[in-house]
Amino acid sequence: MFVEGIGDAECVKRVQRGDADSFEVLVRRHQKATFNLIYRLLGDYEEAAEVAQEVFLSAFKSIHQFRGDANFSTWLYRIAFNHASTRRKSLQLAQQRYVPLDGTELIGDGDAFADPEKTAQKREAQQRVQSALNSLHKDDAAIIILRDLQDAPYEEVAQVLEIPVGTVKSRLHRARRALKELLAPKNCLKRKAS
Amino acid sequence: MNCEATGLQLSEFLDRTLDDQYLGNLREHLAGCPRCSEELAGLAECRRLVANLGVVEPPVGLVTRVMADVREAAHRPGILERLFPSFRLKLPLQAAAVVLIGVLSVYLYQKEDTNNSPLTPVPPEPVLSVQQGSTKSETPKLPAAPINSPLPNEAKAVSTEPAPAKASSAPAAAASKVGIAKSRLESQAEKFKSAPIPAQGVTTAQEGSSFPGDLSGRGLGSSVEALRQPGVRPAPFPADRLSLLSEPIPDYELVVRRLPSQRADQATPAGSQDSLQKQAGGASTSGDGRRQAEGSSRGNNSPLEILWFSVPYDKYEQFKKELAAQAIVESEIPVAVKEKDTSFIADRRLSIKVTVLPPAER
Repeated sequence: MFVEGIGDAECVKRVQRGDADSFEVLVRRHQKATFNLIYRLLGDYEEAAEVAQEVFLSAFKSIHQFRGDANFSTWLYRIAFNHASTRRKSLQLAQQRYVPLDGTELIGDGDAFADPEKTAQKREAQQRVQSALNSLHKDDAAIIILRDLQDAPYEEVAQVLEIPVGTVKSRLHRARRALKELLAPKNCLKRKAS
Repeated sequence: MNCEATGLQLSEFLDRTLDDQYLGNLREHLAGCPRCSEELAGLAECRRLVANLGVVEPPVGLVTRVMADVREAAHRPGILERLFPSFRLKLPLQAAAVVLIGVLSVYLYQKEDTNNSPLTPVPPEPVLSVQQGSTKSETPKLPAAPINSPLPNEAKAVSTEPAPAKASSAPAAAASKVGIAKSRLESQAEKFKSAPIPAQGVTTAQEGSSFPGDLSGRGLGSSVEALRQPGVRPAPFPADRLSLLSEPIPDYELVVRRLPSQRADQATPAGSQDSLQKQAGGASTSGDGRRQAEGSSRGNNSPLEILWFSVPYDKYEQFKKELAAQAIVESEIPVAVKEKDTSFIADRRLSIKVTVLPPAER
C-alpha cells in the first residue's frame, strides 16, 4: 500500500479516487520543504508545526481541485504560503518574532559536532537572518526563502506567489536589497539595542 | 551601461540566469564600477546567509498527526449529510409513512363510499297516513286495521304508519333477481318498523271535539267517554323529554283499574266506546309502534294497557274527573311535573301516561 516509488501525480490520483492512505506518501515526501517554508515565514517552530498540520489537512480536503497543471509541490507551497501568511499576520511576527535558541534549526546541518564557538557564531548569524526575514514583507520573505533557501526556479516562485516571472525577478532583487539593508552591521546593532 | 540599468541584472547574475547578451556588458560595468561591485558583493552575502540557514527537520510525529486528521476527514460526513444527519435513514421512513397514510386514506374513503353507495336502498320514508273526513290513507295497500274513530265529532285523525315492511318483504323473497337490493330494502323496512316511533308518529284525534277540555289522547284513536278526545292533537314529545329508549317522560303517570263491568274479554274492539279495553284495542290500530306492540302482544285480553294523553294544563283536573268516572284511579304520580312549578304556564299541554289495570278479582 505504501509505495514510495510512485510519483506525485499518481499519488494524487489515488487520493482523488478515495485512497486516503496514499496521501501519506505525499506528506512524507514534502513535509520537510513545506515545513521549512512555513517555519522561515513564521520564525516559530511550534507555530510552524501547527500550521504545517493544517496545511496538509487543507491540501487533502481540496485535493479534488488539483488538476495537475502544476507540480503538486508548487500547489502545496501555495497553500502553505497562504496559511503561513495568515498566521504571520495574526501573530504580528514581522516585527516581534525571533528564532528560538533551542538549536532546532541546526539539525541536519551536518556540523553538530563542530567547534562550539563556531556553532554559536553560526547560530547567531541564523538568528540575525531569521530576524531580518521576519522583518520583511511576507511576499519578499517568501520569494527569498523559495529562491535562496529552497532553490526554487523563477517559474515555481511565480506560481506559488501567483505573479509573473518578470515580477519575481524584480521583486527578488528588491527583497535581497532590503534584506541586505537589514543585515547591515549598523541595523543589526540597532535591533539588538531595541 | 549605467548603474541604474545594472540593478535588476545583478540578482540574475547571482542566480546565473542572466542572458549572455547582457552578461558581457555587466561584467564590463562591474569591472569599472566599484559601487555596483560592492552592491553585488552585498547581495551575494545575503544570499549566502539565507542559504546557510539550513534545513530544519519537521517535528517527529507530524506525518502521524496529519494522517490521523486526514483519515478522520475522509470519514467525515459531507455538507448534505451534516445538514441532514439522518437523511438517508429518514427518507425511506418518511416515504413509507406517506404511502401508508395514502393507502389508509383510500381504504377509508372507499369504505365510506360503500356505506353511502347509491346502490344501497334508501330507507323508505314512513308513509304519513292522513284521514281527514273522507280522506283515505295514502297507503291503501297496507293491511292496516280500520281506524277506530267511533266518535262522530272526531273530525280527523292523523296517523303515521311505518313503512310497509311486510308488503315489501314478500316480493323481495319472490324476486331473486333483485335479491340484494330487495333484501336490503327489507332489512331497512324491518329496521324502520321496529324503530321507536317518533313523537309525530302517533295517532291523534283532532280538535273540534265536544269535549270542552280539548283532551288529546295518543295511541288510541278510540275513546272512553271520559277520555273522548274532542280534538286529538299530536302530542309533542320534546327531545329533552325522550329517554334513550325513546320513552317519553310523562308529566303525570296515572294508574287506573277497570271497573268490574269493563272486563277486557267482554269488550268489543269496535263496539264498546266506553271501555278502556276498547281504547287499548284502538291503540292497536294506531301508529304508535311501541304501544301498539304492547297492546297487540297482549291482545284484547291483556290485563295491562298503557295509554298516553296530551291534555292542556288547565284541563287536567277535568280530565281526571272524567277518567275517574270510567275507572278507579289508584295512583297519580307527577313524574315530570312538580307542584307549584313556576315554569308551568296555563296553556302548556301535559303528557299523561295512563296504566290501565284489569278489574279487581272478586
